[in-house]
Amino acid sequence: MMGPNDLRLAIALGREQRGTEFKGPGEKTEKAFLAKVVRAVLGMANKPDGGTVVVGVDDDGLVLTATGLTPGQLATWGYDDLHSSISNYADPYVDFDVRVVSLDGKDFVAIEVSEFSEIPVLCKKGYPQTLRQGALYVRRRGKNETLEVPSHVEMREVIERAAEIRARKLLGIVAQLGPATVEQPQLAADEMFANEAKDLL
Amino acid sequence: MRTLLDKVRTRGHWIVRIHPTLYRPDRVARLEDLEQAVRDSAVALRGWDFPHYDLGEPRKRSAGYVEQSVDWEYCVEFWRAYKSGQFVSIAGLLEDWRDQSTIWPPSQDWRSGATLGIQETIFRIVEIYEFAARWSRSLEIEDSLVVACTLRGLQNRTLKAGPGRRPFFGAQTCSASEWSHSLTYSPAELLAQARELAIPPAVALFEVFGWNVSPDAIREVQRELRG
Repeated sequence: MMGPNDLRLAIALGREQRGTEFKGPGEKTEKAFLAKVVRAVLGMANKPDGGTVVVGVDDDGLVLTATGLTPGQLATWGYDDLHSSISNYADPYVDFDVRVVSLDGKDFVAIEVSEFSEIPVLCKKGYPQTLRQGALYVRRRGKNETLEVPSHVEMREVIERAAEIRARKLLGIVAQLGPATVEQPQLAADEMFANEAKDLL
Repeated sequence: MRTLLDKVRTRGHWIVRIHPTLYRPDRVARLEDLEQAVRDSAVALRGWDFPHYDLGEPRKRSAGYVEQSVDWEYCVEFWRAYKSGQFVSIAGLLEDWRDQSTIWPPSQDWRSGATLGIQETIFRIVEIYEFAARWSRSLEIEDSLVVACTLRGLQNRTLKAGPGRRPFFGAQTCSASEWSHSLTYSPAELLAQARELAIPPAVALFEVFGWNVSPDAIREVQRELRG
């Protein structure tokens, strides 16, 4: 959940992080702008742990400027409308929440996107120069930008996460059938671990 | 010279230890793999990750471990990962370090060590358990894992309700100086239900403050995290 301190922290870091993408001020009704936001949302949905798309922060590549949204712009970013718009582009779906974050008298929209819960999210409808039907958008490691899966590294990450999510669900079902066997640590092992970290403890 | 660890210990802090049940000093052969395991296991469900793996700052390597420390704004923390599969995190309570923060500066009534944020604590325990689950996967640990947490500097600290929640009628104050919780889990349990496993420690911690909270109330706060 992004609050004012989290937003301040994200801006103070001075650059986009893998889990945060900034978009300048704009209205959801501007189609080209919305398409860029949707692309960022799709990328976050395919990233481990998801991420946040913040609308109202200008990023010229060097400096982040917390410009904020006008009341008119802010009013266009309601959850229901945005849900409907994102559903038009996302397959199967994106789980997200929308919050207004106020910071130093300015308002921002934080779209908090959860990681996919079943299978990776694909783009099901194109938009000129921004979205391609059938594309898999990801957040690139290191460079922190949203783009079509650029290499085997990102593709492998998405595939492995999907497999892990599925495996963890199955383990959850198995766990309901009965408790797993837990091996208690032997005293000697416990002491060895404690001894290893004794300068810290 | 005062180290970052000395600094962390001057105020309230978490000590988290996660390790397998069997001691094998070279469970992970290469430090590079160990670093990658920390990076892959880090949990980023909100603004700041656990542990914070900072790409921009160097990690310090020794023959048997890799470590990193951070001292930035109100984040004062240290982690170390051993080739044995042991992971240790020692991290200051965020709200205790507002006096060195420009982005969350102290308010007039702020005093270090005065409060423990409920939401922040519940989130942190989830992160610890989720990290343990991912750690077991990254290192392909087949034996069980010990997850041990200690919270120090609690005496006279008062629970603080999360944003948008009703404050307590009376102060829920801790008289103990520290709280600890340690249990052993199978990797399957951790992977299957990390968030559920994070509930009993939270309930037990808040009890020490005199707050008898239900597991459902903890779940409700957990849902505010992504994922």
